Amino acid sequence: MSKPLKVFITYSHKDTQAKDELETRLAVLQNEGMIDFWHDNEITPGKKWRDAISSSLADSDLLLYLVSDNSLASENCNRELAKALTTEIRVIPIILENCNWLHHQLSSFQALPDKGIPISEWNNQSEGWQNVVDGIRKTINTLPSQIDQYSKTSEQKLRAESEFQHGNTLLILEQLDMAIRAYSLSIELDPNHATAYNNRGAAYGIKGEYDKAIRDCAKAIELKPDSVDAYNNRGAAYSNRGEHDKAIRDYNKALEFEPDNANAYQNRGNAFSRKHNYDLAIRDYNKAIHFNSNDARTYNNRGVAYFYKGEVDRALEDYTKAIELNTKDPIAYYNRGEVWLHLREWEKTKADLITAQKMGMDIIASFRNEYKNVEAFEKRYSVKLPEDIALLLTERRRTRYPKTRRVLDTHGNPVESPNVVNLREQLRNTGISLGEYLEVKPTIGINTYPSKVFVVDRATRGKLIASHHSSVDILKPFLQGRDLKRWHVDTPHQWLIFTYRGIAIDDYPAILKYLKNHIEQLNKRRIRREWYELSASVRVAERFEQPKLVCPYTYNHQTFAVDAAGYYYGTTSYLIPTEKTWLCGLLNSRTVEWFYSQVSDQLTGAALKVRSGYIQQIPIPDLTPTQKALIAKIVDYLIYLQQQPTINSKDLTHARDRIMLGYFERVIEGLVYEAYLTEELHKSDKHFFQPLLEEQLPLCEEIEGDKMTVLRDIFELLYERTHPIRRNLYYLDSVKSVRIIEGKL
Amino acid sequence: MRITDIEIKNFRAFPKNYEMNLSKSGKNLLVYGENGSGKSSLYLALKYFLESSADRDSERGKNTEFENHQNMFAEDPGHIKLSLRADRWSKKDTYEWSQRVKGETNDELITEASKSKGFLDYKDLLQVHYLQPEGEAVNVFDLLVKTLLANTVNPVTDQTLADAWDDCIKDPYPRSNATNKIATLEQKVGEFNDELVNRLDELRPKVRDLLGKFGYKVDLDLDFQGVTCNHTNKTLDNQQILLNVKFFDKDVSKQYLLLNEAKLSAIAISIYLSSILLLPDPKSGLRVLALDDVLIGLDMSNRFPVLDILEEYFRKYQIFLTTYDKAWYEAAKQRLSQKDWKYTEFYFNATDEYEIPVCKEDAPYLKKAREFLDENDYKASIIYLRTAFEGIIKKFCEKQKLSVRYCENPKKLTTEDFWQPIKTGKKKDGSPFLQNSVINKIEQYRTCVLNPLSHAIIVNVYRGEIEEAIKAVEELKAALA
Repeated sequence: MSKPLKVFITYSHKDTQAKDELETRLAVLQNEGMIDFWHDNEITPGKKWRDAISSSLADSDLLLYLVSDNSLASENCNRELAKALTTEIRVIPIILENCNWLHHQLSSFQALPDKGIPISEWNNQSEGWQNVVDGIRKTINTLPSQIDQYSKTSEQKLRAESEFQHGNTLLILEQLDMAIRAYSLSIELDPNHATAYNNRGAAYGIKGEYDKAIRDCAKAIELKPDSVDAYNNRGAAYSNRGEHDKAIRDYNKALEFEPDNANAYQNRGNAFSRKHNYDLAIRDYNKAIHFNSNDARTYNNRGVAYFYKGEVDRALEDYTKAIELNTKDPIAYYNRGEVWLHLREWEKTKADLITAQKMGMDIIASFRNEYKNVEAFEKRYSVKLPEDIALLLTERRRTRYPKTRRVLDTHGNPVESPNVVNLREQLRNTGISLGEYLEVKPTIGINTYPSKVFVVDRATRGKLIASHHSSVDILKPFLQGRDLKRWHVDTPHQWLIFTYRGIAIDDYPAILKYLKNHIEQLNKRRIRREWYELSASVRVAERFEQPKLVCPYTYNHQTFAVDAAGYYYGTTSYLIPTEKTWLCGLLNSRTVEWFYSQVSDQLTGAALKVRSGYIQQIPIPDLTPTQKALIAKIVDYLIYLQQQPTINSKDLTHARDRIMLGYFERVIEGLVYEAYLTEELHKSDKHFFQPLLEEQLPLCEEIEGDKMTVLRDIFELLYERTHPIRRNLYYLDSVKSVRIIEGKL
Repeated sequence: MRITDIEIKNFRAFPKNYEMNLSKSGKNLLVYGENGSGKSSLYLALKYFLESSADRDSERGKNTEFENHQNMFAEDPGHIKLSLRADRWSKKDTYEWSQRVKGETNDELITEASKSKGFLDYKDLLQVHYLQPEGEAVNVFDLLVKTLLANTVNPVTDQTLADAWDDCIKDPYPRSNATNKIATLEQKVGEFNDELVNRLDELRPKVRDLLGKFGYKVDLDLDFQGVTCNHTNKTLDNQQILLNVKFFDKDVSKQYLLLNEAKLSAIAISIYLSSILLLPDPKSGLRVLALDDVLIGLDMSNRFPVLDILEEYFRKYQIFLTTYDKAWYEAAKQRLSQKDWKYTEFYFNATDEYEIPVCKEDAPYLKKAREFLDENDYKASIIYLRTAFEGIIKKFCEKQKLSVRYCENPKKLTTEDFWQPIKTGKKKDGSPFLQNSVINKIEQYRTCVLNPLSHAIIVNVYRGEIEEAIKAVEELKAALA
């Protein structure tokens, strides 16, 4: 043995335990001097690869990729990992749990444990791990001999093979286009590489390009007539095109060569099922289960066949088994819920449907597909659904405007113009996500129900304080989402009685007396707290009292405002605790609005709704402190302007002041476009930061004398038709991405 | 950046391939054309070409599909191609817009040119004929919002004024209990008011400036008090921009009587040109201004000031001027420098089953006069013949340094002023320049065929007469050579 191989491990931070387990077990190999840990890399969502990591990756010999839903979910990481990989690095995927791509028939695909059976599915996980370690040892031992063997053949074949393996790796990383390129290269180098054709076909199939998938599989079969995987893959592609008979012929062929192929049975079963031939389908599923009793999908699919045959008891049994085998699949829950619905087991229906919905399934759409709507269902089955279930299956708010987004093709994939998809991904890659950027997580406001009791007006507040001075300590200035507008938060004229959990209520006799007057209403809340308490703890106070950005929970256009005054908010507001006012400029931009409406599924009518998970996906471009300060400076101008009487009046003699406000907003728009689309804007010679920095604008707080006069002068300067800012703003939409964002392309 | 070549095929009135070269420096273009001769098609070709990059969903967007403009008689798919050069030494770039090639005009250069362009045609100005004085002023709200300023873009919202107004009126007036809708409407109207007030404030000095060039000693005001929402009647009231004109040197009691159509046209043109002048310059520098027959509503005396304005304020623009007034065309030709301008004439030929624009630019006038006569186009023939005659005698006077009647403005000299000295003049050897027979023939036709007003009485001219007249001028040319 020469020098030890350098091993690089990549894993999701959620799988840290598995990674530690693996390292412990690999200690043996390390002691034997076979391997040397080089580096490991924890994947966190949205994380960017640092150069250091990709260079140390380039230096390693062996990459161990821990495959799980978590690691696969991190698209960005995987893309960058895929880019950094070269064909010289040997990649061993170690399968921790069942993942989607495992369902595709990949040939010559080397993964551990053996046959790609996930660690989680080993009855004795320790054995699973041992299998992994043995596999790695074997790989290391065969590495040199493999090369010998290849050198006997030809240089070209060797390269074809390494490209092919590279393609396999890229495929696990779900980098389909890159994988297809690698397979194509492999085919170019070795035109008789049947497995490369097969795997490329599989990749096309995953992409939904079924014609190409069929062509590739046919080629693989031509080169290697007993290629079971290729028959299976081609069958699946035919099936997806709705050509079930052709699909069945292919599966028959696959079974001819390999009569114990559970996947082929399962696929053929699906084809029969789609042809409404449920008896044949069930026969095939039985066979599939005979050869592999651990596949949750087979049970689920057999359940569907039973359900359509009217054998609901068996369907229930199968769905329950499917859920047992894979607790993370919402479809089985939904299906079981549907059976319960027919059996009028309302509580069970509700439980299953809610579970499916929580797992991210669009149960309303699925229900609509089958039954149109609740009324139709009730009529058809002469039944009256309980209100809560009916509500669960009814679209909450009917869209008043046609939805232009998320049009689905027949395979359920969204039809979107490549322009839009590319731009969205481009924006995503401009920086780390808001979620990672923030030190403190965003939150929504306090539940103040019943608000009529807890939220008081100026007069009541006065009385409470007059009655006992301690009241002032827990009367907090309070706002609702509807009070919010862009940039500046007006002084509240409502106050929240902040009786946090565990408050020493006796210290506030006036408040206590007031609340007692409403005790009946408060008791209706049925809470596991004192009757006078809010659900918020005293720690929540910190969140409110520090500087933050706030926005209403539903809005038509981005409406963030800077709140440095420590106001309190109700549940109709969303709070981002931060001192960085420049973020407000960023978040109010059309670019962010466009991105958010693209990633958020909450587009009902024209309004957007806050979904924290999606808001936290908003990419934060990497700006210099000077650039951030510049945006913050103009945000401060806007905050100041929002408070001026001329801006808030309708008097036409002050029209110019209102134009000024809009123009400064547009200036920020320009800066944000440059921040996100730097290259594209610079290519067409459109700059905002530079000309604006050259003007050396004063900080709003440092303007002496009449700030309004100074701001008007600044506006006139930047608005002058020959000023580069004015010109670049006017012609901004000649930049393609800007036109996409502004809806002009 | 200038347009150097235009190629139009099967677009609207152009059934065949039509090519025009504006020289490497991208000259301005002055077009004379009869109605139906295709000059408006040229105007629209340029306009839609530039706009084809525009927002497809907008009102403007409907013109962006070439299919809608395909010539009805032509089977081949048409196209418009423009070639551009940064300057005469740089490479030529050609852009195509057609059914086949759609994306090319999305280029940044064309998009910017579309946003900086000025296109006004005579139809836009027809509205001034229907303006009714209200009290002592004229309400120009519709003229401004829907026509003259319609395409000006709000620097804040990037929306055109016409679209912003459309947003205010497109939905039925909200019911009195729909508070959200009322608030939205009030906000839209408020933004529209702000924008229009601001726009008028910016325009006013520039309009006064341009109007000064017309020699009207007037001060003008555009008074806009803001559109208001009338919740009781469910209407938008005060759709009013009052045009007040003060004449410095006149009694002002009945000013509106003095606002005749010609003056209103001048004001309208000034407002439009001012709005274009307020736009920021595009980086690429391609700025196109096209005026299709818009000067026709002006008195002859007020057309030259427009040329002055174009020369003074629109140097950076490539200008396309068209007219169906031959006399004005000839006058403008004399006035505009050949270095910067190219002139061309469109005629249509009605002998075929459909009308084809005929464009003649290069052949000598006399030859063209004969060609048109051969095509039975008497009118065109006479125009060329007269032009040829004028050219010959002027050139001869200059060459021989004959003393011509003194006139402060040389452009005001008439044909008579040149003809007289030739008729009576003598060579150095004492013999007359022309024999009596030639003079007599010319005199005979000068009253009819060669009369500068002949285009008005053309119907009475016979073919034979024109032929004789051509012969006479040919003879004259030979005698003076």
